[in-house]
Amino acid sequence: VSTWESLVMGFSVAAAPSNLLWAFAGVSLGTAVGVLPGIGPALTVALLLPVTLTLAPTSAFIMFAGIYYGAMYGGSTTSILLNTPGESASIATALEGNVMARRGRGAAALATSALGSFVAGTLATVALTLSAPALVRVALHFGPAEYFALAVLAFTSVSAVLGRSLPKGLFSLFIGLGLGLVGIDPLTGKARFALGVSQLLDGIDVVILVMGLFAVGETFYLAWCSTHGEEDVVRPKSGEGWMGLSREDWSRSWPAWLRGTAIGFPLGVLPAGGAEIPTFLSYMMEKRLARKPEEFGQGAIEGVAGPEAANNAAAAGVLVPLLTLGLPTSATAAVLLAAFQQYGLRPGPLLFDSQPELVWSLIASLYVGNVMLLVLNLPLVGIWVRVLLMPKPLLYGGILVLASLGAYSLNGSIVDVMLLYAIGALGALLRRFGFPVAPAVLGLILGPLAEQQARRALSISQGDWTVFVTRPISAAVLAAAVLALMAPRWFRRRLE
Amino acid sequence: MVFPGIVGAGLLVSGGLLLVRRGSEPRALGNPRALGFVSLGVVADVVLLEPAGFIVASSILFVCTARGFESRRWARDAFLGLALSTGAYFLFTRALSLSLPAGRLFP
Repeated sequence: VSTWESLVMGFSVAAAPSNLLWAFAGVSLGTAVGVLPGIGPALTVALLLPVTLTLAPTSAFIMFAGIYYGAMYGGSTTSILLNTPGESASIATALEGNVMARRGRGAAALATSALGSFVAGTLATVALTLSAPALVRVALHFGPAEYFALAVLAFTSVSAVLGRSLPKGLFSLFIGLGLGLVGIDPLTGKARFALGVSQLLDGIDVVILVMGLFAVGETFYLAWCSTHGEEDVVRPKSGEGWMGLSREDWSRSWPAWLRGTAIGFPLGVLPAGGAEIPTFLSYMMEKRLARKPEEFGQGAIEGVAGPEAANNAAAAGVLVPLLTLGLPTSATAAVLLAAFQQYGLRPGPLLFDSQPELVWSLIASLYVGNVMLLVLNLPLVGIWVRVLLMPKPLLYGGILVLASLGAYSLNGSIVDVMLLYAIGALGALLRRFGFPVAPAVLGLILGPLAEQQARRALSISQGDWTVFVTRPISAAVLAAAVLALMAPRWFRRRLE
Repeated sequence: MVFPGIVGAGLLVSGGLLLVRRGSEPRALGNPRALGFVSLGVVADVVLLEPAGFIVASSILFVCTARGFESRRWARDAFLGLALSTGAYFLFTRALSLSLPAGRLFP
C-alpha cells in the first residue's frame, strides 16, 4: 500500500463526523490548556488517560493529537499577552512577542504566530507523512540491541536538555527508572521493590505517575511557592488592518515561518528533548539574518514568526520517532506512549502494519486539526484571552478533583489515590529545587521497555555485553547518546 | 539484579555530584499556609473518599484547594466544587460506566 493510499484511507476515517467532533474537542481543549499558564499538553493528556478505559483508540488518539497541537498554538498566546510562557518552547516567542504586545502590536504578534504555526504545522505534518514510512522500513531491521541503544539515547538527551544542570536531569531520570522497577519482573516472575503491598505488584501505573508529577505536583508547588500576585495581561487591540498584519509584516514573516519549519522539524525528529533548542536556534537565526537587527528586543516580528514556526514543526517532528520507533523524546510524547500502552498497543514499525487505520487516521487528523486551530486562533483569539483570566483557585481546585477521580477510577482503589498524592509531593519537591520532571516520566515509561530489550539482546548474545557496541547501528546510537550528554551545555554556552 | 544495580548506582552518582557542586538552593519556606490548606484538602480526600463518597470528598478537596490559592469566596467555591464533583460523578459512573465510591448519599 502506498503512502498516498494510506493517507487517503486515514482521511476517510478522520473525516467521519464523530471523529471530527473528537478532533474539535481536542484542539479546543488543547488551546485552552496551552493558554492557561502552568498547564501543558502532557498534563492534559495525562488527566484524560482514564478515558482510554472506555473510548475507542482511534477517537482517543485523534483527540490527544488535537490537544497536543492545540497546546502549541495556545502557548504562544500566553507568551505574547502575559509574558509567562507556559512551557520552555514558548520562551523565545515571549522575548519579542510580549514587547510587541506592550507597544500595541499584540494583534500582529498573535496573527503571525497563529499563521506561522499553521504553515509550520502543515508543512511539518507533510514531512512526517513522507518520512515516517521510510523510517519504518529502516526500523524493521532493528533488533533488541538497537532498541535498547535508542532508549539510552532518549534518556541521556532528555536528561541533558531539560533543566539547568546535568546531574539534576540524571537524578530525575534515575528516580523514574527506579519507580519503573517496582512490580513483578516480567522475565523471572519475581516481585521487586513491592514492599509487600499487593497493589504494587503490577507496578506503578504510568497514569498515576504522570498525573502525580504534572497535575498534582504543579498544584502543590504553586500553592507552596507562588506569590499569588496580580498578573499583567496585555489585551490585544483590534482594528489594525486584516488580522493586524501589514504588508511589511507579511513579507518579514513568511521567510521566518519557512526557516523556522526547516530548523524545527529535523530537530524535533532527533531526540533533542522537544522544542526548546529549535525555538532558540530559530530566534538566533532570525536575529542574525534580520535586515534591521537593531529591532530585536524592541518587538521584531521575525522573532515571533520564526520560533513559533519552529515550535510547531518540532512538535510534529517529535511524533516521527514516537510512531515509528516507539521512542518518546519529550514529556508529552512519553504520555502519548503511555496512552498507547493503556490500549495494549506498542508504537513502532509493526504498528503501521497491525493498526494502519489508527496510525493513518491519527496523521490525517493532524492536518484537520491544524485547519481547525487556524480558525480557532485567528478570529476567535478573544475567547482565549478570557480563558487566560480564569481564576487560579478554581483552576487548581478542579485539577486536583479530576486527578483524584482519574487515579481512583483506574482500579477502584484508594491506594492509587494515596500514591497519586505522594508522587505529587515528590513532584513539588523536584520543581522546588529545579529538577526537571520530564526525565522521571520518560524513565518510568521507557525504563521497563529498555530493560526488556537489553535482556532480550543479552539472551540472544548468550550474555555477551559487547553486543551493544559490536553491532554498528547500536554502537553509533550509543555514541550519539554520550554526545547528547555534552551537546546541550555547548549549545547553552553559545546562547548566552 | 543488574538493572536495579545500575539504577541505584546512577542515583548515587548523580546525587553525589549534586552534593559536591551544591549551589545556591532556595531556602525560604515558601507559603506554608497555602500548602497547609491544600494538604488539609488532600488528607480529607483520602480519608473521606470511600466512607463519604466521591462527591462529598471532592467538594471538600476543591474548597480547601481554592482557599489555598487565596480564594475568600467560600460560597462560590462550595457551589462550584459541588457542581463539578456531581457532574464528574454522573458523567463517569453513568456515561463512562467507571466505578466511583458513592458513599451513603446515593445508596
